[in-house]
Amino acid sequence: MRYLLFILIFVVNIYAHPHFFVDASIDIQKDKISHKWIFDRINSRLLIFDFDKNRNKVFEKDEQSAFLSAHFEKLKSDNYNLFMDLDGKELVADPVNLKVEIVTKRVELSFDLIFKIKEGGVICTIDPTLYFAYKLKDARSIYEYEEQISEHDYCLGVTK
Amino acid sequence: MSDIYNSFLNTIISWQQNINLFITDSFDKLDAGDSSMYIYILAVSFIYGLVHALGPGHGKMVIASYFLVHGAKTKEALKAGFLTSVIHTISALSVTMILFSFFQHSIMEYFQDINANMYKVSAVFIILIASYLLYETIKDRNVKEDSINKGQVRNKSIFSIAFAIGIVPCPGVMTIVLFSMILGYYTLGVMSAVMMSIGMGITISFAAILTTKVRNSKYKEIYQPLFKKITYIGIGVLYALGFVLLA
Repeated sequence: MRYLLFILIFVVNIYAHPHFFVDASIDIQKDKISHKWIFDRINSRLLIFDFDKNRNKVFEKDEQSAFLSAHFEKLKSDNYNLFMDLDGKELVADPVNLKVEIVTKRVELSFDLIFKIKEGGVICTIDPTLYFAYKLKDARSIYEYEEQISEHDYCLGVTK
Repeated sequence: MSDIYNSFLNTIISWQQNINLFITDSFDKLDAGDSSMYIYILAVSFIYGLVHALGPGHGKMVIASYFLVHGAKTKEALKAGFLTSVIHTISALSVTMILFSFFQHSIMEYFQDINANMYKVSAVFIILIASYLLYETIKDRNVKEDSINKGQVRNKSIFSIAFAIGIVPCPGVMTIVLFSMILGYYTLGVMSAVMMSIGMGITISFAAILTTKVRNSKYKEIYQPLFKKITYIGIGVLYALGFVLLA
């Protein structure tokens, strides 16, 4: 069974490859964890073409909703590419305060997760399908943390 | 082993990110009137093709498994690699152009949906190929290796394997072509796709040729029992790829 699982994971991995290159930032605060994903310029141009329907270089509410439905809601089955093992339990992500903006020709997606960290744990941003490659650009936290960063995912070990 | 794989993956992704950035900057300069960027963009597209296909995906594992089981001459492996890349590119170009012409919005979403469905079609073909190879292997299990096929693969078989893998449109090609078209550089977009295709063809062919070299190694007589096991492993990998993609 172990070998079968290994083969399956290996097979999924060898068939997938990154399409979106995202500069990620995370800010761990007292009662929330804020994430920001900034898409690479090529894909941002394509996304702006797709969703900025009135071509005013601003995502209005309906355009933001369309974007989120097409490129964020689909990630729900993978817990929005978030793995959070905090205070001894694995958390299901419930993003709030979602916002999509165009900032200096790049698409920025930001959202918060409402959670008070009591003890600590691990917070990772990782796409199991490797369609998104997340590169951590900025990490902030009111608690102590250690980073583990690769070119396509990252984890923070947080201790309170 | 996984450390080596992760390190390799990190390098490939990092290169792709840098090339991605180079392409954006080059288009900025082109927009600003620097027409020498045409050549530069085509050269970078070629390198992007090479690097893009080095990463996971693009059917290298399928093609390698196929030639590991079947055996072939270097020329045939080269042909299969390039044919896969050409079909992979034509598929992406066609889908992108149809979407760009008829759907001015949600192109990327449609592309993702088409891509996901094409993976399923590809999966069915891969399972069929695995079944055919299994049938051939069982049928010839008592026949001496040299008298089976002498490493020759028919053009029809090469096309079948290339079509099975290449039918999935390449998202990398779609990105570059669509980016060029949005900026109004239609010819440059198509030319970039051609250059990417040549780059990917080299990388995919390399995987195919490497496998045929292992398969046709002069030491194969010594390792004959091992090769028989590898043949079944190769078929198993093809089945696993097919069923995982179909799930």
